[in-house]
Amino acid sequence: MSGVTINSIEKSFDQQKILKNVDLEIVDGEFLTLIGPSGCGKTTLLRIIAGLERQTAGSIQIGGQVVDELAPSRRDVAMVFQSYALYPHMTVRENIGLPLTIRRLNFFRRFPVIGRFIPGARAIMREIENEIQTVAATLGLENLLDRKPRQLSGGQRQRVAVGRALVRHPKVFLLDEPLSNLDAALRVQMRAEIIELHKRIGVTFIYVTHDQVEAMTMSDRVVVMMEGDIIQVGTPAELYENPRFVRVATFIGSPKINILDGIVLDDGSLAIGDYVVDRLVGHPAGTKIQVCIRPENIEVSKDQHRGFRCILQRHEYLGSELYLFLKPDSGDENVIMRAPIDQARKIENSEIIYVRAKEKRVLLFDQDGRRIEQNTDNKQIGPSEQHYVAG
Amino acid sequence: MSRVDNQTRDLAAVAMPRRQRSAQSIEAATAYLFVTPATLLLFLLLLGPAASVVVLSFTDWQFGSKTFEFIGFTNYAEMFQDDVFWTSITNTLIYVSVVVVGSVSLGLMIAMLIESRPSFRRVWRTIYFLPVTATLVAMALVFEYILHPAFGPLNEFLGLFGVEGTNWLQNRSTALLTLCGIGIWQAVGFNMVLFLAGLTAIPTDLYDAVAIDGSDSTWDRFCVVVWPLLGPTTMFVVIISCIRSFQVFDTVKVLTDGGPNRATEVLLFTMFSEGFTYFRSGYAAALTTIFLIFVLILTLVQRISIEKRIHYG
Amino acid sequence: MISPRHTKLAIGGLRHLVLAIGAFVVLFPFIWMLSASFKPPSEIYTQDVQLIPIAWTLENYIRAFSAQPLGKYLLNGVIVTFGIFAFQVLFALPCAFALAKLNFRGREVLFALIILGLLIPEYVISIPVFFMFFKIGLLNTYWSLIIPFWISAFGIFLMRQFFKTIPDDLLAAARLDGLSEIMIVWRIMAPLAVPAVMAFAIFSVVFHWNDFYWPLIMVNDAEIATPPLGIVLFSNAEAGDAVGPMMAAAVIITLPLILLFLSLQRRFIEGLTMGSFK
Repeated sequence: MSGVTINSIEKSFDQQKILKNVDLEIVDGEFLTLIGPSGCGKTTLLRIIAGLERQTAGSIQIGGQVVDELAPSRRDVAMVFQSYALYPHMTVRENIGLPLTIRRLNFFRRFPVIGRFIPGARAIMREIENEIQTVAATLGLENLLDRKPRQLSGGQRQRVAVGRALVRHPKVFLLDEPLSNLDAALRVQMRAEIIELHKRIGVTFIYVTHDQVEAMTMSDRVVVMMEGDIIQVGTPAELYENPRFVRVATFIGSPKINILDGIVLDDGSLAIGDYVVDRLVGHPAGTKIQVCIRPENIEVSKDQHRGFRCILQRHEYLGSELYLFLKPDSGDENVIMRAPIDQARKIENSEIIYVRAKEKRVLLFDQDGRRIEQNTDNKQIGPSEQHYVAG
Repeated sequence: MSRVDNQTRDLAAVAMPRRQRSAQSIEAATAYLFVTPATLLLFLLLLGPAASVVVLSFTDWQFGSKTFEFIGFTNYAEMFQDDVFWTSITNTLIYVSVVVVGSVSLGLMIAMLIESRPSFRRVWRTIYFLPVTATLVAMALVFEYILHPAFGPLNEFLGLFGVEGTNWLQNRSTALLTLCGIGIWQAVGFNMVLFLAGLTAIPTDLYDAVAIDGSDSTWDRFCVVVWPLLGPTTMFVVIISCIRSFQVFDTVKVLTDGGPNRATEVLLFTMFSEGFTYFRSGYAAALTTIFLIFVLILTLVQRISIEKRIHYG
Repeated sequence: MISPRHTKLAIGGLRHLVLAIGAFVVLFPFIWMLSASFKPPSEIYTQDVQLIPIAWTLENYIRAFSAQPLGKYLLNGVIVTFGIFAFQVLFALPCAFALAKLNFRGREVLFALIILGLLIPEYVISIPVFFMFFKIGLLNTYWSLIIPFWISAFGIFLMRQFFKTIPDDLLAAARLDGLSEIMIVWRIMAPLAVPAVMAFAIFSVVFHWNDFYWPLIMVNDAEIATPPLGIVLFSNAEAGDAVGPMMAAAVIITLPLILLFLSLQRRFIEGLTMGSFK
């Protein structure tokens, strides 16, 4: 009913391709997030769905209906803007009610002062007032209806923007980085409210953000975009545990995933510096491999012979978490490891620590950043030949 | 009790380190050095003369006579009974009304047209602003030629449509309106620029919001977004136009000399005639005072409208 | 069904069309002036209207320059506007700095008086100032055109606003470095104020170059006449058959500012419109 189909959408501005060839099927009622760095085209795609921009090629369907030739107001979508775009000269009531007054009252009825005397105007206005009240009640705005936007806080303004979208009962809710203008605490609260809202009204939400925390915590599915392309679509868990590209792996997850330079040896094993990690099938000797491990997937190796030798550079104690910054002997950059809190007392900078990766938690990518599925027995990290580590 | 306080205060003053005190007085001394020339000129050339004009309006002084007397409000009484004065005021107000309405609405329309698309904005802006930069007196002479009944292009052009053109500047019924036309010609570009600034200040998000909320039509965009947000700017432009057009002089002096038969007699022109053609300085001073009062009122309203503009939204 | 894209293009085209028509009306006087200046009398004094001259001639320009000292008028314009502007800055800059950054008794009063001065147009003070210059015998001289404008309440106001935006720390650093107050004004504040001064320069130059009222009162000698007065003297002196040369003169008179405008454009517009924020 309110699923969105995006077919081979392209968009160019003056020779520059903003969107290259985007295909996406958005399921009715899901909360879908478009995420990516600035300039990746996510906002442009959103605006094309809304009808505010016209695509260079391709087609959009909403609820099974092709909407390409339809004006934004006919597509039955509502949008919450980053800057909220509230009409500064109107009260909250008028802001929320505008979509209704514009559609239901014709030019004469909308005329200031005398419009209401035109027959039929009063009845429609009463109707509209009721709907505004309902929406305002849902969002807790009842007491603010007569205020102007400049008299509201950031969070209140955002709710008004949401209210204005809600009042139309749209098929699709579009949100363009709605939380980026709020401070951290408010952001957490509004995140929860938006999720609540989605659960309550069950309409398809398409959410654009560059903040991966929002993407991870709010979405049913996440679409990662880079430079005009969709590079992966999946649930937050899929993206986190099974990234298809190293760019996805580094984009999602905080602190950033560790990347170590690996190389395939003559005997087919994968080595990082002096340490052999694994046995890799199907790759010629000399192939460079990017070995990625998340901070929480590194643990201290009780057996010195079975671990990576690292020097502790510094640590960050956050109270609930402890992060160790290790410099491995392999010559790689600092590796970040999340350690259990009780270790906090026992460590000293410049100490030598031996670490290894948890089982089956290593992600391998080739030089182009593409994921290499492990068709190996996923052996463990260990220093040179005589120090093979079994899983 | 107070004696002790005084003593404490004096002690405190003395206790201030000498260096601090003299640094302060150096600062003040330098300040006086900097402001004195300007202040002297301010009184000598601006405030003094302005005050003396008001004083002069209560005398019967004629330029060149050695003596004069204070005659109270006689000049003003004469003024309010003088037909020429009322004609002058009326003409001025008509001129202001026509020019303001014409140049503000045209300025707004052109600004909106230019702003509606990104292409060639600078070109259009430059073209329409050109009249503002041209020396009005010189252009007045050009207009005199254009409006010439016998060989001016305007009447020729009207003739193409079968409309008979008249002697625009010499015809009692058309002279003032013709000057209004020239006034509008020069003012449109100025107002356009002010409106352009106001239009570019409107956040583009709002247009998107209206498009999604329910309407794409230019009319709805205008009613819901442009006109309300442009309100303060519009008021500002109207007042500025009033002040500027109120001071019309050049075209009148050069093209019609107040005629025909006082049809284009305006306030500044009357002031000038009384003061520098007939040298009835006292009477002219009274006219000047009235002129000043008008300008003060308009400027005050302008000040208030600037304040509103700053505090809006 | 016309696609949205085609409607968009059509409206875009319409916009250009309407603007072009308006532009033609607005530019017509300039075009006509230019065209007429190259026309021989036979093409001027005729019922036929031709936009482009058929027989181009420089007659008008030659006559214009020989009948009246056009070059002198332009020169006078330069002398007068420069004489006014240079001294305006000389007096206004230190005063504005003091008002903005220095503490002295009477500062607020002085500023209030400046604001008062802003409200007074030049027309109001013309009678007394005319008399003053008459008394000291300076009527009909350059001084009578220049001195009255040495005080620019607007200039002081503008520069004060600008100086207020400069952080006090900068001054403290300069004082610590040992600069005297005068040095601070001219070596630090003045260079910083260049954008504001430039905008004011445009405003002042254009205003006084185009000023007709003041020279009309103060001067009747062609030798000292500024461009507006000059061309009116020309117009008064010539008989009715001088339309051609007058158009040529008009071209010469308006050209400098138009060229200035075309080269500076945005700054020009800023300079002129900021005057309305007085």
